[in-house]
Amino acid sequence: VAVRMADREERRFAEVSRESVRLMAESAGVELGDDVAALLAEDVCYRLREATQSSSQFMRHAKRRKLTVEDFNRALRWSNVEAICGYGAQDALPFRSVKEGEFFFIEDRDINLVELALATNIPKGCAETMVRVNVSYLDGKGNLEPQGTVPTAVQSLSDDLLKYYQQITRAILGEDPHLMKVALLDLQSNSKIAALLPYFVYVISGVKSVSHDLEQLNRLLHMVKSLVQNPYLYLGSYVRSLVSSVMYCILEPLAASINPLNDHWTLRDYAALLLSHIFWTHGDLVSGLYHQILLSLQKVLSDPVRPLCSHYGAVVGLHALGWKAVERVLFPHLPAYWANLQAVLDDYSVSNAQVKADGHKVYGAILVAVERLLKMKALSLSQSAEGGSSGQPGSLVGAMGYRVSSPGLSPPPEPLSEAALGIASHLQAGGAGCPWEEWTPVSLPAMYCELYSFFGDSLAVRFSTGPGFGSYPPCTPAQLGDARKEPPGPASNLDTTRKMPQLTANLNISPRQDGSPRTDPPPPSLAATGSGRSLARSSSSSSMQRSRSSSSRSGQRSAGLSRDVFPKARFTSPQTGPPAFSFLIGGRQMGRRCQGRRPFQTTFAPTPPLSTIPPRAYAHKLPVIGRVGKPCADKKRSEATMAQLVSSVALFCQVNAFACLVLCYVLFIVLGGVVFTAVEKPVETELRAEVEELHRSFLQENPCVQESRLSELLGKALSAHHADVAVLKAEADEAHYDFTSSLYFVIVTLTTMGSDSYTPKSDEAKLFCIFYCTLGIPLTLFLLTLLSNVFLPVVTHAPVHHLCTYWGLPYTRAALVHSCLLSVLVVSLLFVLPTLLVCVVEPGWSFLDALFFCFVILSTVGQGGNSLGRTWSPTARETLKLLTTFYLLLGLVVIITLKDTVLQVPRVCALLRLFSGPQYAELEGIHLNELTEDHCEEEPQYSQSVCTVSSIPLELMRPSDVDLHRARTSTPTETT
Amino acid sequence: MAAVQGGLVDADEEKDIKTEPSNDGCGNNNANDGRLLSASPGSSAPTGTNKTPAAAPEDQQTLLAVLQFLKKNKLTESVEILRREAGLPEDSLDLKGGDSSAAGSGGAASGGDSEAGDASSLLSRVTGSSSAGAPPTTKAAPGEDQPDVNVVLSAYSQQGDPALYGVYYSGLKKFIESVLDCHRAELSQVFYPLFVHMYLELVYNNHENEAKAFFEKFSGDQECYYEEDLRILSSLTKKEHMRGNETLLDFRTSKFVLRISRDSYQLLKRHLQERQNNQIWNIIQEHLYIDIFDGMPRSKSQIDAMSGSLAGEAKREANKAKVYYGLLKEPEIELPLDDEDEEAENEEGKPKKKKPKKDSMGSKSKKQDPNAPSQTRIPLPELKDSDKLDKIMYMKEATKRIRLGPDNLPSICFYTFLNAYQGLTAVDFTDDSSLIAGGFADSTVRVWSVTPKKLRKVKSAADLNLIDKESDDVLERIMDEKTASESKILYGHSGPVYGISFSPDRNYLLSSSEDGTIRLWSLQTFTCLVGYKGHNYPVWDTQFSPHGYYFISGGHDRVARLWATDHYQPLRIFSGHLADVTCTRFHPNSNYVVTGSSDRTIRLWDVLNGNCVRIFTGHKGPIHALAFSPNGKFLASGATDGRVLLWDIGHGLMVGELKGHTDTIYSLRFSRDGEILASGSMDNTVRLWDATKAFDDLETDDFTAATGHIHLQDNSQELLLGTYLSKSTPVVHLHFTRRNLLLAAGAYNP
Repeated sequence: VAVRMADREERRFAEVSRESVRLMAESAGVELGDDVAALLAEDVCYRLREATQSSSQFMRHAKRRKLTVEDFNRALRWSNVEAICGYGAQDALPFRSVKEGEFFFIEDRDINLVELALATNIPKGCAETMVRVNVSYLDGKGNLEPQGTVPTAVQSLSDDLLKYYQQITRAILGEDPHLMKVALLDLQSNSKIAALLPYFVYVISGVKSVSHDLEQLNRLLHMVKSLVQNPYLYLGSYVRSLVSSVMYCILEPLAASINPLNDHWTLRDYAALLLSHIFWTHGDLVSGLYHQILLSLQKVLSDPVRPLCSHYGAVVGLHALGWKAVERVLFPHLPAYWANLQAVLDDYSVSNAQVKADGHKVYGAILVAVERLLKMKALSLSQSAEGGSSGQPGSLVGAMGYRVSSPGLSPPPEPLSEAALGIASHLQAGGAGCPWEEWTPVSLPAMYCELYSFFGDSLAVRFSTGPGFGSYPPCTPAQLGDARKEPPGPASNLDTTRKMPQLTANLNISPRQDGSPRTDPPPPSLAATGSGRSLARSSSSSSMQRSRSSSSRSGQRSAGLSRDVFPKARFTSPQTGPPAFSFLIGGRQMGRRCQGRRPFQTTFAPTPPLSTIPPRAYAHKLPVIGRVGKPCADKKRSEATMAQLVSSVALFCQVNAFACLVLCYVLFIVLGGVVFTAVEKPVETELRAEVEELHRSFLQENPCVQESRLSELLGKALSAHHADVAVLKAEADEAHYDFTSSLYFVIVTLTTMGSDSYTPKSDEAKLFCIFYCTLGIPLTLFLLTLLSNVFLPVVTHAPVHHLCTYWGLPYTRAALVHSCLLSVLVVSLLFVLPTLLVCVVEPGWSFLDALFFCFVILSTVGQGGNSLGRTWSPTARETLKLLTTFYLLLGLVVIITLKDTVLQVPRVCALLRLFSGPQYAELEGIHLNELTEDHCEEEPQYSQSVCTVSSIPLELMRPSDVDLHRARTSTPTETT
Repeated sequence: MAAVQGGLVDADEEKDIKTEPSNDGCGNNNANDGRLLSASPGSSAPTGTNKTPAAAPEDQQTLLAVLQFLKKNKLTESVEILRREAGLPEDSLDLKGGDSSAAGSGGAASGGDSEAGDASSLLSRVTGSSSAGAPPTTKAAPGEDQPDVNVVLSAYSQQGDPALYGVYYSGLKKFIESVLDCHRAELSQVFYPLFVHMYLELVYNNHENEAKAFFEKFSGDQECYYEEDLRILSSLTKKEHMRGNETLLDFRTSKFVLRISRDSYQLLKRHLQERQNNQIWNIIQEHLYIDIFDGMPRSKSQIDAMSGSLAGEAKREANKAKVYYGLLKEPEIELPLDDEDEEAENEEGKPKKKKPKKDSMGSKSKKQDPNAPSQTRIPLPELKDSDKLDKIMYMKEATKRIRLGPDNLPSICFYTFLNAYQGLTAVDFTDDSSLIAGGFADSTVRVWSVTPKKLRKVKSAADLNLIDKESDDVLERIMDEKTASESKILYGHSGPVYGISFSPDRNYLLSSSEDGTIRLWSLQTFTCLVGYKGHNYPVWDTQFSPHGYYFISGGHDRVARLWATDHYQPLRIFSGHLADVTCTRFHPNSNYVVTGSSDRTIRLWDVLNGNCVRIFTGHKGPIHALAFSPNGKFLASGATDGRVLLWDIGHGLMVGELKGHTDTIYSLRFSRDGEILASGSMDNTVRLWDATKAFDDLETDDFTAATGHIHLQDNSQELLLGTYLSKSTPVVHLHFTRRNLLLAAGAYNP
């Protein structure tokens, strides 16, 4: 047929040669003469042409350009010719030629039916034929869409789409931050990618496989956001899948969070915001989504076995879902949860520091959530009490107060209250038939009292602290003003600041965005109005934040105040108007050691950070603090059950994991030492006794021999043998397996350095040694790594940060410089200095000998026989041995730290990823800064606030916004 | 008639030339009137075996021939029936003189017969030509057609020296090249038919090599638009091949029509007689019909515009019959003026809105269009209540209609069929644009609801019994909610569905298929109601009459048939096309149908008597799209050559040519008010043309009307208002909604 088609193009026709006719005849068993064959050939040609001619008619009427076998068959059928069977393929048949024979044939491959049947890539069935309409040309002039677009939902992916998909995924998951930004923007605005939606969703569901890599997680979340914000996409049932991916990021103890250096908190915050965003904008696509989300959050929250970071995620998620969710899930659950948290927070042991930092995070998150709950509840109550919203004095005062705080900008407060009402009504309407049917709203005073019992003054700061609040007169203007915002005057501000406990939280709600979009549709263009409004709101609290910080840390860093805090706290996109709210927790540690990016993680130092807390902040509010070992804080609560006990024990173990580990290790070593001593000592004593016996008998038998002479002889002989002159003499008074030696032996063995001067002599000791090393060596390495991780923030992050901030170096450069400096320092401190020391100690050694000695120790190569201080007294030698051991351990830790530092240099990362592939690169502790190296002006804020709950979308901040924002924030600062 | 004319020329060309012009006017009219008298509107259809040849004057002759043929074959019963139906006197066949008297009474070929002499030879010729002139019978029964074909082919038996053919031809060529410029173009028309027939004679007489040489030598000279036919011809090299070749039959059985001015014709004749060139002269006599006119010879461009069809141009007389192209009077329906409408108008300014409304309704209802057929010319179905409601809806919508124009182009909505896998073959919208139906190559018909209202079936009979029939919403209650869905699939055909059409009342759907049937589907129950069998060959197109009840179909058997939904036999068979009828359309007044064919002609048929009243030639490829202007005056046609031609039906003239498309045009549609013509093509574009301008510019003077010579200015680019590209989606169908939004439909071919 293909050949026939060619006929139409040119005048000359393909001819069937008489040879082929004869061949065909022969294959049918007929001999043909030349002339007959020629005649036949000609006739065949003619008939074929005729059939083609008539078949083209069928093609034309089927409105196709391609002549198919079916058309040909139809033509044959209507001219009463038998149809050709077996060639129904849509595609043209491959026509192959055999060069030698000048012979053409249709390729007919063997098909293994079994393989075909069992093949897993079963072709998808044809999609349902459907009609889609799109407005192509409006009024013949302005096109809605560019010319020649096809409506989406085409099943088959065109090559263009596939290419697009590859490019986008590569850009988002790849190296270039600029490319990623472009890709995300495109993903957010492209109208033609609906066909790719499943693929993107699939990529996003890959969060589970990259849970070790914060950067990739972050990128995937950004991808979710772009997809959600794309107005042309109908997410449909994919919402569920997206939500589950986001929930994974919020709730799961990600592999990345094992490393305390990873800023997975920001990721969780971001994911929570994203979740609420998805829910508000697309929640109606999946029925019951809200309740499903709440259920899963509740499950996590009530599961004490889960790590704190999961709890944190749950709290943040609830917070993001609105105050109603907090009221329903978090509030009833709080008493039970509080005990566990308190147990963590009040453990001042060093080993608990890490967990405790996590605990503070959770605490801060809960505080923020609860405060907003109270605020919103108060508002909604006052609303319902007053009835109408317009003529209400409270809201008026609130509005006025608001205006005071931000003059020139007067966002109407009504939306706030309306939104609150709207959300309440929505939830109550939706509440029917939900799992929380039995849930009864707690009255505000009761709630406040209960919460106050937990949080004490830290809560009161947000609300009015007046004792009259318990009775709660709904809307005294001043109180409402307080409830709305920070206490107005600087004096009271200072006052509260003093009273304020060490974790402060500042909530900042854009009322429009808080409300449900169904009751309160977002303004169409947030770029103009909405963002301005949210900026205004944030400005008020930012000024608060600033004034507070300046007062409490008076003069500490007044220069840094000009830096803007709030760009970090913004999460609004100008394109869509989703309910996004921005908030910031400004928890702080009494101005101590704040310049680290994650101050809580820098607390390996022996002083527990909370020791400086004024005790009454907690103590008089919480009469019994759940301490370690006595989780009886809730004894007076009847709900304290067995399960809670178990859970608190589990929590305790969890919280003190590091300390436990260290302790275990020490015990382990001590045990090793003891065992070796115990096992070897008898053997040695026996041996020594024997030798002494021999010695004595020898002297007795040979009285002519002087004892001193004999000793000399023996000593010479042994030294010749051992090259150890002191041995013989030592034999007399020195036991090898005293405890120090055992310890030395143990450590030397465990660090795989090895020493051949000490070997277990008894069989038991040998057996034990094998067993001991199997367990001990991995443990040692693990511990060393952990230790290095502890060092890392001090040694690496803080200086790099410092370099970034004060020296104005871009992150990559800073990291590079720092790692170079560190290398030099390590080399000098770890090699050169000890070498010199050794030279001093051992005058007989050359410098090279000493260096070699140090190297041998640090590289754990091990070289038996060369021990220090042979000429020294035994006690001194003991000390030296111990020092060497410490030197060894410290050196190893430092080296590992150095390794980590070097690995964090972005260029090295890139190099690594080059080898290991971009997706699965092991990016331990990588900074998200790698992406934001040109935004280092935002960095100083970390020194102000202890933890930042919210992160901005990394790259979405436009300079113009920042400028605008600055302009806005400057005004309220002056007023306050 | 062709044969008769040929005979006349044969016998005495001088006389023929004289009588010819006088024949045209009165002869035709007479025939028409006679037809009008004899065939009453409600009379039953001509039977399937009967052939209705192209032109009215030929009817009587052909009838006589058929009668004689039947009689010869002892089919007396048929003879009786036929005679009664045709209204011929009992003895018309028996008497020799009766032949001429009958012919005389019919008003055809007056005075020609007596000179023709041998009536029996004439009859035998007529028999031959008439039976061959109806290829459907020959095709329908391949076994029986052998004798007829032999008769046809035997015309080639006379032969001269095969070696001299080339000499003759080149001699003529030399002569024509040497004549004056003004004649050259006209005389050049002779080349193609001469070439074809000479070649066929050579082939028929087994001079294969000479034929090949002849073809090689001269085929390059032919006009490029004959290429397609030449290709078929070139493959034909054996006498045996000639048998059964349809194209060849077309050449032989129909005379190739040429229009030549008298002067040029004289020139040619003189030359041939001087040279004693009998070979060519014979061919001209036998196979060509030369339509001679007085006056200036036509220019090359004029000729090119009109030629290109399989059988030359239309004879002038073929387009002389009067066509009542006016619209029927709209039935009087009191339009209940809604309050809301009033209010809306008050707001926007009353006079502006009221005026067009009055125009559109008032003029129609008050005075009868002089060009319109009488209201009862063909019986039309009574309007039902629902139809009236729909009409009211229509009028309401019409008041909100957008006035389109060059400055105000319509918005276009594209309905894309996704995942159709190249299988979409036909699309139709309902008039109110609420449903869309697609015919597919996999034999299915699918109906989609375009509005949010879903498609529902009527409940089953058992359930229907349970319904309270007195209730007001009984129409709503009979619907089965459970079956509500956005689309329904109709299964029944056993071949690709090539044509599809909704009934105006949206209760029925017609589909025509490759399996030779037309099916009527109910859109209430979504089942097949009737399968109309009759075509026996693939049915390419079908369409409902704008008034419902009737529908027209055309297919591979080269005839178009008129059906009524309640008759399982066709009411009329329109036969005359020399190749497949590819598309069919009803005139807005339902009194005429137009058919386009792959013989590159368009024919307009009178529904009342089945006559062909117009033949339009000028397309150079099979015609695939036709559209009447809303006022019924004009016709637009599109073909595989990518050109749209505009025709004035009243004058029977081509009035415009729109060039721009690069591929087959599959869809044409005028806007509701006729200002814009939209064309959709295989080249994935929709183009909008300024129809108002195209029709306004034309001044049809009497001379042009009389001679049929047209002067077309090439103003396609001025008329083209916009080209809109879709993405690899051929535009299969176009539709203007009642508010003049343009809907386009096609299948996306990735």
